[in-house]
Amino acid sequence: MELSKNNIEQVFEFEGLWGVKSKCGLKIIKKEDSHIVIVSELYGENPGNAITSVSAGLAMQIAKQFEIPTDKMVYIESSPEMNSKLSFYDEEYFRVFFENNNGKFSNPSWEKLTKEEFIKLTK
Amino acid sequence: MKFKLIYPRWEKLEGQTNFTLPPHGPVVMAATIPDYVDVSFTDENVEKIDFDEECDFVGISMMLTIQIKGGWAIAREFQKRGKKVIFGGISTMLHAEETMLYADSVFLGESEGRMEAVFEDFKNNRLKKVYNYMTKQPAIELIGPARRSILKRELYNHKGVQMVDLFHASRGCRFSCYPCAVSYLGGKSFRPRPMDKVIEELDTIENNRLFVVDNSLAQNKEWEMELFRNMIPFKKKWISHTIDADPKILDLAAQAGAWYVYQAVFDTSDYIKERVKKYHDHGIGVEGTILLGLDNQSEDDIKRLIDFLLEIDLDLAEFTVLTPFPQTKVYNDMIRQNRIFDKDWNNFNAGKVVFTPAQMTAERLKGLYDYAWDTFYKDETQEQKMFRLFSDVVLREMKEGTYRPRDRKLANKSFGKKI
Repeated sequence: MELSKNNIEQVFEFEGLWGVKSKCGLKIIKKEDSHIVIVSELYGENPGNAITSVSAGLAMQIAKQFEIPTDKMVYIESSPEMNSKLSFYDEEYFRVFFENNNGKFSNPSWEKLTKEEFIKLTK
Repeated sequence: MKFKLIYPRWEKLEGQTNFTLPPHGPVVMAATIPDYVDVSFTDENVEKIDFDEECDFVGISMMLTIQIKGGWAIAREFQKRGKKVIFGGISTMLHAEETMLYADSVFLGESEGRMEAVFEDFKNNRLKKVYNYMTKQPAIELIGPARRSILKRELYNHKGVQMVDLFHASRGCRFSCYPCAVSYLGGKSFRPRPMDKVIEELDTIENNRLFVVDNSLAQNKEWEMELFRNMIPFKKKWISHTIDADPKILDLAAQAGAWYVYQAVFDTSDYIKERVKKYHDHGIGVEGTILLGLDNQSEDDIKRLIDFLLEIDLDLAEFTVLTPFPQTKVYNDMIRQNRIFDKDWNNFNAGKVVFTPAQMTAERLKGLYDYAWDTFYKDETQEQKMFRLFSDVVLREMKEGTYRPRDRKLANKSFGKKI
């Protein structure tokens, strides 16, 4: 299996559950009134937690490091194409919504995006 | 100081035989406890817990998600009696935050070289809420022989036949398989134990039958061959998870006493058929492990898969329903798709459907799971198939002079109970 890096501009190191050192792919698109944050799973290249296991914590770490106001963040999780015969490793995109309590994210919920919706949102 | 170590009970799958093997986690952990501590072990699968037994400190070791609610209830009973309770084991790691609500302390990670400090903290009344050693694995050389002396042997005996002893030669896994949490628990790199440590431990095991519980022995061919070469002189017979199907490796495995291996059967390909044949050609039995309910499986696919299993002459088959355990890709995928409809951890037993399958209803998947067990074991029951495998190993042992007759004193007992 080979990871597609289409939506990865940099590798972001983050602290996972219980302080586990973890990595994800990251691309930030700055728009006039928002910041589109695309985090990508790195599978075998990530020594720690999956992005979906720690969505709220990871979004907060990105917001802090890149000084993105949490109310201006559009957060997308991407499972990149793995060029695998197994359908569980197909490319997928999910927009993640958080409860935002005074700038602190919690209780994520996911909404699947089609490729077209993803392109439209990130254009 | 007396430490009471508990292994909570769980319900076996419908259709599964009722054999109970001695657990591995508690004996591995017990080996890391300081010598001044007296350990009293209770496996609730084979005996009742005496909550009033005198002890200073209680440990609850949990391997499966279906043990955790029972473990929490046990903790409450001991806490009512004024005892402090520490939790550990792999399902504690998967369910750490919830378990903290019921625990005086949770231990996350591997215990080698760490228990001295935990017991010192307990003695000095400064037990920490969390001992977090996630991904901070100790040096692999530190793993010594498991402390099997804490097991009550007669409770793991069926009609005079001793159950296999569990043993491990490595930790960690370089594969991150879709339904598996092992790489989260033991790290994403394969960590073989030094061979002299493996030999040292094998030397301590009296049982002539083992279950090598490593996640996969097929992670490094050279190491695998060295392991088998070193196992040959012990003349033990063993079961394991998958091994490489390379003829050179299979030949060594057979010489080392491979009895039967688990093999995941995920499709009806010639690859699987040939692999099973290769094992059989080397005198190694095969128990297929078949996961039902994957998104790419239709009803017809599952029925075809079951027909295929009968065709390839598997010795045994174990069917499970896909179960989204935390820290797996399947869990993350299903959480995102909002497909997990049952969040009662007691139902995460791999025999119940807790999610909405992609190509059928949950009820239909459960129906196909029952159909799979019934169809595979229609002509010969699981007990009969197991007896055949057992007879094979007895004949091999007799030929090699390693056979040990059943213990007549326990002939009328099954796992401690009179029959």
